[in-house]
Amino acid sequence: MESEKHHITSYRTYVLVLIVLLLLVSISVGVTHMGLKTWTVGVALLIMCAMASIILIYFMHLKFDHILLKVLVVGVFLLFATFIGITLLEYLTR
Amino acid sequence: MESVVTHAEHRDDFGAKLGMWIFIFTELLLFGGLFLVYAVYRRLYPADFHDAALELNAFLGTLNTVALLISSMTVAMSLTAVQKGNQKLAARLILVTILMGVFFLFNKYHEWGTEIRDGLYPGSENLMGQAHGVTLFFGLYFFMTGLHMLHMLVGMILLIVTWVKIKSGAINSERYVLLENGSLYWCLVDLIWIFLFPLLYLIP
Amino acid sequence: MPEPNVNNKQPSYLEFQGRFKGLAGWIFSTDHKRIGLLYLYAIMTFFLVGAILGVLMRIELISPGETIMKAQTYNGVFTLHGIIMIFLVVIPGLAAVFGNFFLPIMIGAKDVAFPRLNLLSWWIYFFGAVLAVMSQFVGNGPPDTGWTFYAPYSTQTGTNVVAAVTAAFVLGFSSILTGINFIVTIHRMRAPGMTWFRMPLFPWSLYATAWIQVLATPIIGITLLMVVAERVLRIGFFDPSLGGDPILYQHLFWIYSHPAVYIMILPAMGVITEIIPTFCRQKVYGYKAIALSSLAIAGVGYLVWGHHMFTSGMSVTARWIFSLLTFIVAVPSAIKVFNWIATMYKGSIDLQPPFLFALAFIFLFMIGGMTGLLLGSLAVNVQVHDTSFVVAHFHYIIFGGMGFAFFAGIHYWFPKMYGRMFNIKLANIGIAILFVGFNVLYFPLFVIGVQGMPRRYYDYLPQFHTGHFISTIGSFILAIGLIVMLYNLFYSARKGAIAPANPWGSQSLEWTIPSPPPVENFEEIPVITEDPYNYK
Repeated sequence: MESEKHHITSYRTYVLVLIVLLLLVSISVGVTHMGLKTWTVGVALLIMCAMASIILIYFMHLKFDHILLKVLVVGVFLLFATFIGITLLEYLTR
Repeated sequence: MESVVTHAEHRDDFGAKLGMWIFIFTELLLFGGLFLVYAVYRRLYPADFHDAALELNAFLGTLNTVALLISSMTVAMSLTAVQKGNQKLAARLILVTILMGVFFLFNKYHEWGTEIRDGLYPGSENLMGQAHGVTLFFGLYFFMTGLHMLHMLVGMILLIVTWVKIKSGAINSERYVLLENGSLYWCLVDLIWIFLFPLLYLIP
Repeated sequence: MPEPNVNNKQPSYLEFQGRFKGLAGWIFSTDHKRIGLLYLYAIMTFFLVGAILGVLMRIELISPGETIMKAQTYNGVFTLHGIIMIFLVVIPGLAAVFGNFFLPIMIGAKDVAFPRLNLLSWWIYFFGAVLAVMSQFVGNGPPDTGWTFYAPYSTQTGTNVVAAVTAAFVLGFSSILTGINFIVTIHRMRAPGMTWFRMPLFPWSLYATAWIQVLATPIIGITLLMVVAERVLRIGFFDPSLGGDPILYQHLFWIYSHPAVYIMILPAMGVITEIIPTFCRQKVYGYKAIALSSLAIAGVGYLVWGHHMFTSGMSVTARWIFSLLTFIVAVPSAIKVFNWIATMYKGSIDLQPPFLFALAFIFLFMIGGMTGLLLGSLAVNVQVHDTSFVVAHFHYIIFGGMGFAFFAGIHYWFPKMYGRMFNIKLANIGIAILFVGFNVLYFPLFVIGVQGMPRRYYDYLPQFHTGHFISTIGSFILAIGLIVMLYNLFYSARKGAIAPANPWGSQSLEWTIPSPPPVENFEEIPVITEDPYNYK
């Protein structure tokens, strides 16, 4: 079972991932200065989620990890989204 | 199935990692509660949140984001180094990670210092006199970043332990689950910052 | 039936001499069985303290006006009763005691996944408990907020809320660590051949419970930290004068505290599910339905927290959504009840004390569950909100459900834990007294609740006198029942007849090893080839 080969991520992949992340940061900083009004929040949140996913997948090795961990991580984020969703629904309909 | 021999010889790396991940879930939800509070008050006081966020130093915030991203990479890389048997490089990468953490805390110290001097800390007379949303924003800002810094400190202690163990050879290419878990924890600290940064600094 | 393996040469966990002697051999032991007993003793002690406080409250309420204590003392007493019973007794309760002791044995493991973490959990629990008790005696008087610490009162009252809240935070940490331990144990340590659907149902319920512990507790953690910050730093999270919203506190509090109800009741259901097939000599009816309904309860249970807030000023839309979800969560609970009853059908029933407790559990839990549905429906709730109807309802669930399941569990596993039998006749007498006392104590509260008696009130109008009087008499009967039961258990733990390995003729794995279990449980890790509960 677990004793199978552990995947070793190459140094190059990590550097590439970091470059992508830094690009995303500069985009999200740039977007705030473009005056997209209401769109700013949407874009920033989108980039935020993208960055978080990249960190989870590459830096935290989910990509090569056991399926169980992948399912659990997705589940936890969904659960949290439900919490926020229900609570905000209450505030939006008040 | 694994072969459980006796108490002493029981070793289960995946189990240890699973435990760490579940612990990470609890940390995510701990901050999740704060994000929930943030979301509610942002909805109740959008204009105040806008004004308040403009007072933060977005440059320092961005600098710290970059520092943390780099540190996540170095800590992840150290795992590769250990797996390839390069202990020396792994130890150095951990050191870089810790230094990045120190750099982050140093910046944060200055940032907080300025804000406290400007009377923006919770409970200050200046802040109590401001609009409700501004008071709440700074309350949240100090609470969230404070709790985040606390987690960074814990992460750094964990990394120092890992560094010592890499040096002593207790972590090696055969046995590195502690490094894996330390690295996961550090990435979690980064992950939380990835959410904090735009919400506090970027989307006024 | 699996043959008990009595040839195990290891010393029993009670006799085993580890690194330390005497008391230190217990409080520094990483043996899951000893840790389970440590929790048992701590929880029993706190349960007695909480019960005494409860009786004191009942005496105060035996007649209108001041009887034995001042109003402020009464506020302190019901707060302490709540904090002790909820955070120190029922939340760790079954999972920490029987979970620790029997989870590894029932899945065929030698210990939990992280034995040292397990010991740490107990120590954290212990310090949390000390802090909770200290909060009563230091600072400006005992907290008077009720166990819910509702803001804004909790952020403003001069009493010692910070210490109590910190204690609850610390206890939450212990709960989380136990949860992590159990999840990893169940995922990684099952004996060879024990697939998920060959796992006994008590571990299944612990698995669902552990996930709630892990995923809900952090929310209360951060909420309590916010209350502390609010008091120390005046941030204004929940203070309307600073723009905060007290209803948000209630949301955060119940996002945890409703699932916490399932932390209490799921393991209780698990224990009952173990007991019923044993004493009916019958395969459990609908194994998969029971296993999966635990997960369903855990899942849906996360989404119903708003039914505690129907009169808080929450939006109407949210109210009916929460009401609907509340009705849905009753479905998996009912599935379990039906399955238990179906398991008894045509079984050869052996009326032993654990089984009698299980029957009492089903009866009381059904009353609690049905009144829960009444409370879940919006229109009724508005009428009886914060009345003693609610008090009666949750005591039927928590004490009648979780408490009686705890008693059932301790009688069921007592021979295994101590290697001795208790006096069955005395146990039966105890059960009868407990059952009568319980109903006399709590049923009148339903009635006066519907008539309008508010909860947490120190004084009341003359028309509620009869109800309160009967209820107080019930509390005396209940106390006598507890004394009988505890005397029997304490006496038997030392002097009882030596118990065989499998006194009840059960099929589960824990009965295949000697009583009391050897240090490492199994001489050889068993290989599982059959489904559990394979009677006949």
